[in-house]
Amino acid sequence: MLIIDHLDKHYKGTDKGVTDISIHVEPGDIYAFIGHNGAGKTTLLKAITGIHEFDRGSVVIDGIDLAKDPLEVKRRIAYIPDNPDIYEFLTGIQYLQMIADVFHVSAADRERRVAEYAERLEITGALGDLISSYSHGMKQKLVIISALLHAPKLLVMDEPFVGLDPKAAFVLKELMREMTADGRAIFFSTHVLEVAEKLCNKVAIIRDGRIIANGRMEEVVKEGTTLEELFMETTEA
Amino acid sequence: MKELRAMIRLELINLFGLNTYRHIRDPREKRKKRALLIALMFVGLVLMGYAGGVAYIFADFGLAKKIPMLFIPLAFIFQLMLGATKSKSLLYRERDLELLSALPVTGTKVATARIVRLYAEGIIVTALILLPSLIICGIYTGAGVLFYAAILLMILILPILPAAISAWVGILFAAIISRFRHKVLAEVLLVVVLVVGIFVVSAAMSTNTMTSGVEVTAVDSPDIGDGDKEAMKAKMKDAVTAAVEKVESLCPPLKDFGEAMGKPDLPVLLIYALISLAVMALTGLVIGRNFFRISARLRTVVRHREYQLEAMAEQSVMRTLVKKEAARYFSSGIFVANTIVGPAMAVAASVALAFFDVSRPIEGLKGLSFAVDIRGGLPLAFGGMFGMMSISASLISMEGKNWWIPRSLPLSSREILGAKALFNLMVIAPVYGLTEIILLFTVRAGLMDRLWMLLIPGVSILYSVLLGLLLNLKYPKFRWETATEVVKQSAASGFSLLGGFVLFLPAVGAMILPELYRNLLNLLMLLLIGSLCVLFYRKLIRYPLERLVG
Repeated sequence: MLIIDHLDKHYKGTDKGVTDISIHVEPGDIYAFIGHNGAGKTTLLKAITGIHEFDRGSVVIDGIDLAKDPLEVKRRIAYIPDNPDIYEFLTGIQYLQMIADVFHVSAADRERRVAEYAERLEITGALGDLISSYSHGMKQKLVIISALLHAPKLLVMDEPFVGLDPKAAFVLKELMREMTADGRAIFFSTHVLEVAEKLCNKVAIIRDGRIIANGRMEEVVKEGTTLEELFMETTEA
Repeated sequence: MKELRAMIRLELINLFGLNTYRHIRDPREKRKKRALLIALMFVGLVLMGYAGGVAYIFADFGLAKKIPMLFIPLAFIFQLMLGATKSKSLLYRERDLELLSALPVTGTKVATARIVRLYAEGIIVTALILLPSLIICGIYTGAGVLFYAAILLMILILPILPAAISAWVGILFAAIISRFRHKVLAEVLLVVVLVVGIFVVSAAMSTNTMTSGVEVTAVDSPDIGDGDKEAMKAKMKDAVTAAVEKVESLCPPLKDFGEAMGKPDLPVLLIYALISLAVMALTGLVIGRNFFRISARLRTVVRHREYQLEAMAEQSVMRTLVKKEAARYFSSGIFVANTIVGPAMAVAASVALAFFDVSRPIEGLKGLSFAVDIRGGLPLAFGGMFGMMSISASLISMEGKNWWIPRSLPLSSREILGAKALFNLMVIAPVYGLTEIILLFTVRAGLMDRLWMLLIPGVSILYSVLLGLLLNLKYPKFRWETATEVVKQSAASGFSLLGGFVLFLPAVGAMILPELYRNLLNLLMLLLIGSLCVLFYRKLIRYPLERLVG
């Protein structure tokens, strides 16, 4: 589903960035991507979603090379950023309509999906309000709904649980499981290691822009230890 | 006092982005900031040069003693205009409201610190106008050291009152807006009224100045004898005296203040300073009393009743993107107000032409051996008016923190930029149509002149829209706190203004050329502007948007 091959991305004039990243996400995977602040998580997520250019390597999503056909790749994925900065001058429903139009979602599909996800995330009643009146969590819920509207094959998320209330976090985890049960895939960064350990089948740990551990959860986290202990060991080494 | 000092420091530490410039590490960003600071300094130097130049002309005409009486009110009004348009967004800034509300600081201290910021910016504006003009006054009147010391005192004292008055405008705006359910709409209307009001007042004042200005420019003409020069000097004195009297009648205390400066009378200056400080303190107290309450009311938004999902319809990508651009544009009063001035000027000018007979060339103007045909310059002049302040020059920067949205969606450069260009054209098209219809009735012209009047402004609009986008891609500003920084203070909007303004230059040529050459010039300009449009369009559709890091 997602093949990141020897990817380098550095910001000009600084030493920030990621180096020689290779990750393979397969259909059905819930892949956690963890690392300390400033390790390069957001940089990689933005590079693989076509938001930022990368310097070297390749990204192939659903068999399509991102560098060769970025629009086709973007049609198959959805991205949820770490901060839900969305158009505050629109109402929630206007924002969802706009996203559905861009992805050419049929009227019937968008009605059904908006109704279902908004109901599950308990935001239906606020969809007529301006987004500027939303709390951080409500904006996050709206971004989640907008990301699911076109039924993406790959969902890329940056700290998706930040700001969500416990019930919304639970619903998001349910949605993630349902998505991957359909053969779709999720690649997301998180600092909530307990959630990552329970929810994900694969994990990658990044430190100073380089991958230091990567693979199936049970292979990376040895029996008798936890992901948190592994993380502390590897990132402080 | 410690808290007040801390609040003032917070307001002043990043004035003109100096603190950001000092500490920014990214060399590319540092270069951009440096270029912006140099551009700001250049604008400051131009303002100083202009003030000094006009003061020199006055002094050369024997009006040196009148300089304080004219330039002090000028600096006062200039600062007032700048301050009034931004005071509401500065005083009731939302960005750090929650942070400050949580601190053990009173609203009075926060508000006073923000007024001090208005004052600090006023000191700079006042210095740029008064330093060159009053120094020239001092040289020509042979003033002593005390006069020059009084200039420095004046620069510190004068901006206090306009800062306080600007703050009152901000309070008034905030109080009105906070009572409306649709706050954005109320703000858009108020800012538009204020900007149009300033535009009308300054146009009326400059008409007075121009009446005497014609005489000034003709002075050095070889065709004019010494007797004429003396007569003109007398007229000039009368005009300046009338202007001074007009300003004095509008604001009597400024007369005493100007006279006190001319002598200089230090006790009067100090009394003025004390009164100004008292007004400023009172303003701080009044704003402070209700500061957090009004700030909170400004933030309250209309909540609809429980929303019920309705049928959803599909629409084209371009339509949905243009609607999004429209929602953004009309949600910002600053954005609307600052981009309607050019088109408003075009409509006003087309109406004004009904009151002047421009159907024949004007011959025998003093000192000119050729006829001036105003009709000849109209196509390019209107092109210039439409070309100034393009909306598109800010539309990319206005994406700000939302830039990740279009970048992560399956949208091509053509769609993202095309929607922005189309929206800009949709806003200008009705104004262009209205202007052209009015021109049909207000200007009597031949077929060719009418054709140029139709085509050149039309192509100029397209040129300014495409140029605006290109400039915004070249100089994006995604990190901003208020729309003012993008719409009024960004490099893209500044250069875009210049891009429209250059069309006025060939307009002058078109007014003095014989008909045949005038038509050739217009044809040449049409082809040139059209070619630039093609060039800009080709650049835009291939622009690698992924290089723009939001």
